[in-house]
Amino acid sequence: MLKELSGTPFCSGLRYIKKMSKITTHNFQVHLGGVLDVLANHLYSSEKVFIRELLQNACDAITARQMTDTAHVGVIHVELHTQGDHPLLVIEDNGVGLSEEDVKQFLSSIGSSSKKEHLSSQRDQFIGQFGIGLLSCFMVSDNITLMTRAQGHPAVKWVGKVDGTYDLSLLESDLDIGTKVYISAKAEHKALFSVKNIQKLLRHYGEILPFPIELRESNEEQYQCINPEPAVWERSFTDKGTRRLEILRYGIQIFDTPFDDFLEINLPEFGVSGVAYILPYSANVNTQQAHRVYLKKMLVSTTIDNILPEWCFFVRTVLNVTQLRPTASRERFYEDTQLDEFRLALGAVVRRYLFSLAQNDPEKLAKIIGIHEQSFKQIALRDDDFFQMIIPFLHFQTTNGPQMLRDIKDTVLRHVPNVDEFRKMAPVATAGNMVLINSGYLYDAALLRKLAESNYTKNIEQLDAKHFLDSFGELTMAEKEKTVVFMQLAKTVLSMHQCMPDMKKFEPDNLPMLYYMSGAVDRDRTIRTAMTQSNPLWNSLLSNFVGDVSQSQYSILCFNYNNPVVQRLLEMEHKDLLSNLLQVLYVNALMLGHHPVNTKELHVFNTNILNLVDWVSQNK
Amino acid sequence: MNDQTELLALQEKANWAEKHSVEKSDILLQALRLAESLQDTQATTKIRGEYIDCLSFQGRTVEAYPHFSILISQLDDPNANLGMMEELSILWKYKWFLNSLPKFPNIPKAQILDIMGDMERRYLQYGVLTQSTVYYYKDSVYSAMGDLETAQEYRSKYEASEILDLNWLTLSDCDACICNGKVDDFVLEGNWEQAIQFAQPILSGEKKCESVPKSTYFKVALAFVKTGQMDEAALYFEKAVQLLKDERIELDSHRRSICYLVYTGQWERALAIFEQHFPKTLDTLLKSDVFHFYSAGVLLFRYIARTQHQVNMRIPDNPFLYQSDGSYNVPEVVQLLDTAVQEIAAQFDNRNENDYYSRVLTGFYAHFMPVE
Repeated sequence: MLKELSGTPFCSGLRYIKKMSKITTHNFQVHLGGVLDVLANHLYSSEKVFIRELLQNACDAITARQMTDTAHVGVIHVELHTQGDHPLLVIEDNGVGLSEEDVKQFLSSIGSSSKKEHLSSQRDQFIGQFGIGLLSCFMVSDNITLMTRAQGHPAVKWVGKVDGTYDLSLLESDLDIGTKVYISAKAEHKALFSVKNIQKLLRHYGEILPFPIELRESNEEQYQCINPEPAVWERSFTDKGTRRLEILRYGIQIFDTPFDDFLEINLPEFGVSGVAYILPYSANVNTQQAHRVYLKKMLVSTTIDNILPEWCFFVRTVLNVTQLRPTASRERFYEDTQLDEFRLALGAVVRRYLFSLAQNDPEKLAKIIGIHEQSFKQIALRDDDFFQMIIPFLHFQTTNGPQMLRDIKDTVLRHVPNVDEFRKMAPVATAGNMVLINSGYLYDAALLRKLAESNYTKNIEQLDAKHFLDSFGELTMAEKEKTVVFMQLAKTVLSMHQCMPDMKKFEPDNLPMLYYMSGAVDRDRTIRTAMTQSNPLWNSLLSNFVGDVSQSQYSILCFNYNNPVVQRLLEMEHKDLLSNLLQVLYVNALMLGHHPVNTKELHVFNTNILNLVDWVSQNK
Repeated sequence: MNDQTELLALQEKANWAEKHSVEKSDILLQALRLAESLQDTQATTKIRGEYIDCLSFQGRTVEAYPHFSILISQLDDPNANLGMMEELSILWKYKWFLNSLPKFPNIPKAQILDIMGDMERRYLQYGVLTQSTVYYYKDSVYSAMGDLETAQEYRSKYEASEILDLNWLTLSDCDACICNGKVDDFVLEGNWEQAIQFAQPILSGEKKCESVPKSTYFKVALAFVKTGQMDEAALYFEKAVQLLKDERIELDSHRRSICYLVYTGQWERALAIFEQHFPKTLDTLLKSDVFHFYSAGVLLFRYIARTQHQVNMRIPDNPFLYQSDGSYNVPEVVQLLDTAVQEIAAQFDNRNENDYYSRVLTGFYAHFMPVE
């Protein structure tokens, strides 16, 4: 199929079709009921957004009126009535209102926003953009009734129905300038229209809207204001302490999390203000972020995940933005260059906050790092600036216990990238007053390697057992002579394990030997061990990769001349017994290093232990 | 901390580590050793599987072979008590390993064919829906060994078979990977237009997965450059550089990168890549990668030789290509690399019983050496 396509270029096919037919132009036949169904029931994630869309229209209408009448005081009234069996919701604004022409143009034509034409230069001051918001009401109601009057025009009544038809009439009675929308609940949505639910939804979407939203039931005299105060970060407080307390309290209310700290965000050039809370518990960098974001003070979503850089996984924000482009459902923002720049700017704010803590409040920074350290380490590996800022404050396991990098006083930072190797070398390092870092834990070796590549003030050395062996004290000639017989026998015994003996002097005295497994031996052992566990087919395949390991690539078992056990071994004249002990010591060294012991080595271990037991029995 | 607790801690740390990273494989190796020493067979099998994934995605195939061979033997061991998902996961990995075998000239052809037969038997035993996948991989293995006629036979069978979008039943690669493989074939054959055409669903984002598009961009950059679409070529080349900058990628990808840069006259940048990745060629048994990388090196130094005879490089001390003062005679480097490439090509041709690698080499130089 694909080959056929490649042999028949689309363009020549199209040319052929054009020659055959006379071109005529037709309009699409749109099934309005179907379109309404798609918009109303599939665009939005929940039917509850109809409240947001109604609030948004009301706000935009008031904003439009204030553009010509700056002294106008906007208000949105919401009332709950009962119409027969069905609850009836009425939302009224004292905004600019619509004329008959406006209604025909904007309400009866899908996708035609009232904000598109007139006042287009100030369009960015409005929340709505698409001209489809009102349709969301069809999710909860079979018809929408709207009564409206614009300055200098008669009042108009418009009734839109879910089947795609509408009635339009001029009203004889006069109305105040503004718009009233009547939504009668579908049977299945009656519960949604309870006072409690409507109050909750109004607060959810409109809590920080700039115009008061006032609600009352039909039997009540007084309206109750839903949003009496501006956003917490826009309020004035008597002192800094109260402000801090109130913002933290708001965090608990919004995220159900007892935050300890936050930073305020105010970037007028990017049209954003708000609060970023620092998570007081450990979060994985791969966990989806969930930020509460308002667009021109109308809630967009509480689960926005793409507004901060990935590395800001440890903050949760409440933001009001004015310049980002929402998608048609108004539940996300478009991934465009504007959002890219916005994200970078927010990242820079968080970065500055951490920098300032590093300088002014290192205790607080240490606390934050303590919670998020693993993720910080992960991010530091990817982000060079973040790395430079955070690295001195990150903890590493050392022979002195966990220490921040900046607190390690040695002029050279020495690390071992393997936990087992570190365990072997730690006593030697401690005896030599050297601080050794265990970089065998997640990200630590990579971080120290990255540090070595940056222009850090201290040298960084990655060590293995071989390094220690090379640095151990040499024996005098007389001492060497004393070891000749022992070393010859040890060489014979250990060479069958691709290992060479060595004899040095090192601290602590109570450590009889140190084992270093070379990379070549390690690989060869792994393959040989696997061969014993493989089927004949794969066994023969692996045999292609078994090479002769040269003596120079052998592992090393370094004995400590200062150790009393080794001294006793040097004095032994019974060669068989010494051979048994050497075999046992070798396997023991493997086990201590957590190297897997293969069947052959286990057999060697058991046989030699048995030989020793037999010898003891016989010589009792 | 007792050993069992430490094992759990290591597994937890591995979960936190970035997918397929070197850090992750280091931790998994420690965990694997500990699980083995504790004779915890269930944990050993699970960790071994994850370790193999990591090594495979890092291109450390030889290190993964012994571990995979143990898993394969467990498939036949009733005492291993493998769960269905574990068995499936082993079978899934089998195709990766089969596909890698032709890249080692030290593996005899007969052994590769035996293992292909073993995989086929196990796949068909698993379910008849895997037949198309078997054809796909037979095509791939025969192609890699230069037996293009047999490869074409299996390709035809694959194309004639019903392709189901049920990866766990068919054990087949995802759509994006198959599409990417096709692009690869076209680039290798020098069918630039077709490579670009086939890459469209990947470039548009319609087809994507863990490996795609990042493994596609270098290839399409070459195809675009060869068709004179320099802006597109530059766009996808830089995208690839950006996407892969933190990843350990195979030498083969660096070969493409060097080719592109030489072809577009950016030899200083190509030299930096050669310098950075050359040391990896010294201790790898993956000879096909060395072959590709050195052939790109020949291309690069021949190009440099047009304008200068000496070049400075920082290369660690090694018996193959090293000057202590860092100054290298360009024609000598060409000679050295060319000889090495010819030798490797001969090893492969000898194993494959044909002259495929030698022909690939000739075609490669003809395609990518810019006209003077």
